[in-house]
Amino acid sequence: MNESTGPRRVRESAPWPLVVLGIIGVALFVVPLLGLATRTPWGDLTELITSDVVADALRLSLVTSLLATAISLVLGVPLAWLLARVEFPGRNVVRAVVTLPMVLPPVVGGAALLFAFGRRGLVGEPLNEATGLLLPFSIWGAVLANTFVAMPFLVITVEGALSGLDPHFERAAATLGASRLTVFRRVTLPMIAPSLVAGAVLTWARALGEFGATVTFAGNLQGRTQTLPLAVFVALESNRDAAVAISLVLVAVSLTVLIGLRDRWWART
Amino acid sequence: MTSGQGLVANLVVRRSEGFNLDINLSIRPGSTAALLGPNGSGKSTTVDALAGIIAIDAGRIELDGRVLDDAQAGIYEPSENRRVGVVFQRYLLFDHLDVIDNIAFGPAASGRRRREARAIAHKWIDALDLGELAHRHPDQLSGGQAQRVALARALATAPDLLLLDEPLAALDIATRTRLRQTLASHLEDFAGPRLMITHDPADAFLLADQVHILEDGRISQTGTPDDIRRRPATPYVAALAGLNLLTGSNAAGTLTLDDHPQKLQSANTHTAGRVLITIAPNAIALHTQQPHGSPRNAWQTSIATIEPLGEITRVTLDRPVPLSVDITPGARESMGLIQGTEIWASVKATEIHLNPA
Repeated sequence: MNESTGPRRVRESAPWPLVVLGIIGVALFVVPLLGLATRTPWGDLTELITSDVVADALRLSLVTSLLATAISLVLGVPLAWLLARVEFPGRNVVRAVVTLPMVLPPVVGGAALLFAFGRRGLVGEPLNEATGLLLPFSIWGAVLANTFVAMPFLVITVEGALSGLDPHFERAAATLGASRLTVFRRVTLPMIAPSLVAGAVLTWARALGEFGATVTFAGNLQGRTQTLPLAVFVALESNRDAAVAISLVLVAVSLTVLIGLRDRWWART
Repeated sequence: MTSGQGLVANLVVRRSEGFNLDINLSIRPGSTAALLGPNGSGKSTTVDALAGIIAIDAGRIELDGRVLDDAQAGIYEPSENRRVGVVFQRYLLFDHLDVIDNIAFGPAASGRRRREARAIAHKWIDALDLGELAHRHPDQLSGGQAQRVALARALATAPDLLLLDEPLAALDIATRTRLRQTLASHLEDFAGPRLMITHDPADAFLLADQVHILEDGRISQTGTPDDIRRRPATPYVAALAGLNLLTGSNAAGTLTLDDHPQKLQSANTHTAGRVLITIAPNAIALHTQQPHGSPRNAWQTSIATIEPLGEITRVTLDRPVPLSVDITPGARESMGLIQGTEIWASVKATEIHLNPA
């Protein structure tokens, strides 16, 4: 007698070439992590992570990445709405430009930011003369570099959600007397809330790992622009154990975020 | 046409696929009109035009003297300013809000404080007997409950026109019959004009004072439910009313049909010339042998289709005249009727009703 209650499952055997190549693919990601783990000085870990350099970098990374996420939400959600809902000439060009930082080498992005906002830059020079503000080598430079690289993740996630939204609910809200702004605030945003959260977390994770644009544009000053990835890079030259410890912090944070997101983002249709 | 009260609308909408809607509607406050039509007749377009989801291409919509849309004058009020309350076919309740906040949405959106909006919502929750559901979310409601919440949400905005788009279509048949009665009493309580869009003749005939039949973007007939049932003007309406409709001409009680060779005898000798001929399906008798006596209309035919419809069985005959006949399941049994059975049909002359065409 068959003891299982559900329908009988038939095991489909996977073709072996796919299995072999798949396993090699996974190894590509797992082996480096193992390398990191084997080099980790587990005994001194607590001490290393709480050292001044690491603490400064961690604090700076959290502050800059969270600020970049906040700015991305404030600017990126309206931008996503415009891209999804308003037909204007050159919309596809705008969409391409907005998502460009996802494919551009971050160093190139950093250089572009320097030419725009640097001391002699297009906007940077008049800004400096008018207000004395200088973005490079300041924490705001790091925030700007983070936002530049990370905001596209928010825009494409939210735009996708807006395009997939059933417009009938927004129309129903309008018949109830809601202005377009009220509809956006009280119907559209709550309905895309899961994507908004997913987009914000991805944006934050990207900002947290940002290296190239930051080091090019904002420099590498401990306590001011030296975020965790920059600290790793510096430590690799001087203090390998510290580099490994910081890397481990980044791996842990990233994995936590990705696993937390798996239902919201990876399993989307 | 008196302006100032109720809905007065001439809607002309041209769709790119070559479909045109061109209708006139006039609904007084306190009365319910039904717009009854098949799929693709323009019902959704009418809802969209009245609710302000689309603009009309020509014509004018006036509600209690306010112009909502006038293509020539270039006036177009957006949805949020129209004061047209809509109960949508899928209800479209907001899943992220509970029942009370769904109902409070309209009052809050029009600028009332949260507490005030909630108080208005509570009033409608009591009126529609939704007390137990106040803190549920839409996905925890049955179809009938969702319909009442959608009605409360529309009414809470104190609209000048209540628009019901297939309000019962999303419900199963048993619930539909029960809720039709409830809906009727709620409609009575709304003082403004009400317009119900439906494809179900039962909704139109039981809930409306005035029925407009919509076919291919035009209103083909307007009347009270009784008018429509007794004197259908088109084959679609006749089929809805369950009646057989034929066209022909009458000469002293002898009817010559337009499309069929059979002559019929009617007791009506005074409606002469072109006529619409209606015969109720239960006025036609079936016999296994030539009927005795002398019914003036009797002919031999065979059964084209036979279909049980609950308490009755619907038989269709296709020659020499296409007709639907209702018999009891018992009669079917005793006569042993199946598709193709050779049979006699008869109709009394007094059961053949004529209206001038």
